[in-house]
Amino acid sequence: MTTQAPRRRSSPVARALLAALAGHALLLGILITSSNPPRTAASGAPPALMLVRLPATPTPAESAPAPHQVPTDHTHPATTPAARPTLAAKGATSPSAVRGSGPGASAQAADAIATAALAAESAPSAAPAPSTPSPDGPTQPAAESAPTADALNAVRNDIQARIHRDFSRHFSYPPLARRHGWEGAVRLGYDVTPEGRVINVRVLASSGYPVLDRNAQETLSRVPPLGPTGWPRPVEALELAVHYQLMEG
Amino acid sequence: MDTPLLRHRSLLACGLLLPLVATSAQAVDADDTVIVTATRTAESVDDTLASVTVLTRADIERLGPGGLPELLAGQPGVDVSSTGSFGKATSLSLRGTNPGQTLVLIDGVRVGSATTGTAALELIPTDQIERIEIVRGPRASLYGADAIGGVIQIFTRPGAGSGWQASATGGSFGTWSGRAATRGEVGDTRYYLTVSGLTSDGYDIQRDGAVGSFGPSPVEPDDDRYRNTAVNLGVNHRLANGAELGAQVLRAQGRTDYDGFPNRTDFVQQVLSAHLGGEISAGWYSRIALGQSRDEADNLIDGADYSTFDTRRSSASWQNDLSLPGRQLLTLGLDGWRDAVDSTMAFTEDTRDNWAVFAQDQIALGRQQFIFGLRRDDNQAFGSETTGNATWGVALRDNLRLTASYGTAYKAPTFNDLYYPNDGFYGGNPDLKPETARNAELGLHYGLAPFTLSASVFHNDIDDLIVFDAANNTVNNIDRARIQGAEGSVEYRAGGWRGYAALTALDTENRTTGAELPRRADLTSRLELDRTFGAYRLGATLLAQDGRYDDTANTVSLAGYGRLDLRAEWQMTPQWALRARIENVLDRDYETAATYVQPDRTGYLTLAYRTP
Repeated sequence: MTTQAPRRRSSPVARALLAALAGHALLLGILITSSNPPRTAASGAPPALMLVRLPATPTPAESAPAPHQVPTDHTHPATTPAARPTLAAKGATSPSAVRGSGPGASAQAADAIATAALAAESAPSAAPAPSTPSPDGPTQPAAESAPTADALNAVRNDIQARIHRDFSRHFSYPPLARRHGWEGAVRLGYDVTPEGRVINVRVLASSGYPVLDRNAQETLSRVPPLGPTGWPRPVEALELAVHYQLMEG
Repeated sequence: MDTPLLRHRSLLACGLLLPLVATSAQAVDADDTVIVTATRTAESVDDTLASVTVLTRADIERLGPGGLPELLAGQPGVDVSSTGSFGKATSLSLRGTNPGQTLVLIDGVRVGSATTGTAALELIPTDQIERIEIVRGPRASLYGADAIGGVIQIFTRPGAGSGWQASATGGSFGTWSGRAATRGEVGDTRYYLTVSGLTSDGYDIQRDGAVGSFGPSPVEPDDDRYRNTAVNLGVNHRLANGAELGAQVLRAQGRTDYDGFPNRTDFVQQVLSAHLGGEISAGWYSRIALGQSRDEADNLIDGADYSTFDTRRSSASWQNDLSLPGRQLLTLGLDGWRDAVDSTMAFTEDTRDNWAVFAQDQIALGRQQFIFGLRRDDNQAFGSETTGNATWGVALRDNLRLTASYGTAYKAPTFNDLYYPNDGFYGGNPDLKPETARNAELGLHYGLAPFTLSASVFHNDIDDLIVFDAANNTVNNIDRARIQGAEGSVEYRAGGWRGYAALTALDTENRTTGAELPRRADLTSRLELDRTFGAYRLGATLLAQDGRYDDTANTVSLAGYGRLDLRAEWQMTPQWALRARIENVLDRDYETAATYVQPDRTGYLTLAYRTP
């Protein structure tokens, strides 16, 4: 009793879609297998100065910081030659001074910045590199280089703290990454000009997802100028880690 | 420093988030780290505003060795009716819709029988499941047919990491089950393999000679057995440029026994999938996926072949996600599938193709978010169908979100509806149209530790429901239905306590006959309470539903019930755990489908191992 309904054949639209799908599959395959090499840590320009990893300090307003806390030098064994004097200078600061987080610390730091700035104006070459190379830094008189190093550290800490404090909320989860459930940690390197512009933002360690790397890099590149840094030359090789993570709920 | 652990969702989902953050702190000083978080969206549902309930592997292990229907029962919007425990036919109603009006995807592949139009959830072993997402509300504008009540998404792929897991369970009804799983990474390639098996003597699922909606039940006082053997294997490879390709296979096969005619079904459930995805250019992500699902049933009477209904559905999709300026995400896609039916019944057609093109735009504007979706399906059997969806969400406060949405959806007529050979009592009707639905909903989501609260009210109008047309011995688009309801859940987590409550209230009406829709309880609730003390955990689940009608004419009714389950776990060492579970502690007799009894009090013991 059932009369067979005239069967609808695949419509031309369907065939066109099929052809388009096949064509695009081919194109996608070609593009994916031949696309750009990944952005890696190595692609960033080597830091001109040094890689000093500094724990960010609390903001000066909140507590008296110890701007020249023990740097985690061991995490970056590959310091450039230019860095050595600075390291040596840091070695010169005694542990007690490092821990000295009394009320005077900020003032000291501020002084140091001023001193350094002045010194830099008068003798730019003196700031990063004291003329006497000293393999045994700790014994060297600290007076010449310590303020410089401390001052630079203070500036660096200040910059990193401000980036963290003022611009964290500029970072937002890329919708594409959220949709696909991509998570990861990106480590960025960046420099800051004397006028306070963030420049040369580069990916030091990729999250494994170009979308996240790009989002972190672009967001940091777009932060507004911080204002004069108090350091006469660009402050280089600053770092910021950005973790993208998704929560249940 | 790359911290790959952070990339992987299931570890996070397992509640390991804090240790992982601590791990990463070694590499990056916490104060120098900007943590950018967002709420995880349902995978591939592509919708940040959906009403979703997620069950993770940790939940599955916590809740015990039951089947998938037991896990889903009582979750927000979910009403499960079953003909028994241990692999017996089960129907699931999401937000009061009919069983075939909910789409089921396994690893992104549409599954189920094209002849009945439903998926055999009871045959998918929970030992193979890593994550379940219950997405409520119409999703036809993304997925096409059948996503009226919502979508149940099942994922079998574990998160990254490596190691072994094994467990063995024994308990009532001569039930034994085992599971072994391994996963790992070789370079940029991840793999996983899970094997599982379950055998149970079962129990006599049907009261002998009891009168139900279809006359007296058969007299067959034997135990109704169940066996299920399953394997799941997957490989994923990441290319240096971030592109990913992968393939996976899930196969479960076994037998489940019934009473009557036929009294045994040998089944195969299989899902194959492969995908290739990557960024074609900055902000343009493209993904191609191929899939095939098989739902095979051989029915036997006392060991002799009686009938076969096999469905093979092959699918292909190409989806593009484009990041546009202004935090806009545009999705454009094509997909297609072919249903092929192989049966001992001479269906008047045995294949049909469906092609579709779809687009979705997700726009974030400050505290507001908009999602618009549109899809056009062209089906060989019933022509074209256009569906759409519009959703608006606003963050009233940081932790309070209001959503409003409207969507249309449809359900495709099944092969049984369209092409069943006429045997004098019934024949398919090839002129059927799809059942069409309109849904409106309003939702609120509030999250403030230790509480998470979600609530929605919804209204569904469904037209052209396909029902039996006695005058013509076939089916026709006759009835209309209206479903109104509310659902909500609240979760509390603090200091070793976890409390969870889900509540669903429904008001359903067949507007043609005035009757209530069958096998939906007006009220359903599920309460869970767990307490962890060091290496020990105790927990309880109370599932309670009020009464329901078993049939469309509302002449057979089933009483409400409450079922209490208790569980205990002892984590003996970091590797070894012992779990005990007692189900239906109060030994209540109840039925969710007339004449089919649910198990009395039962108990199970599980020994589990995992490499640390």
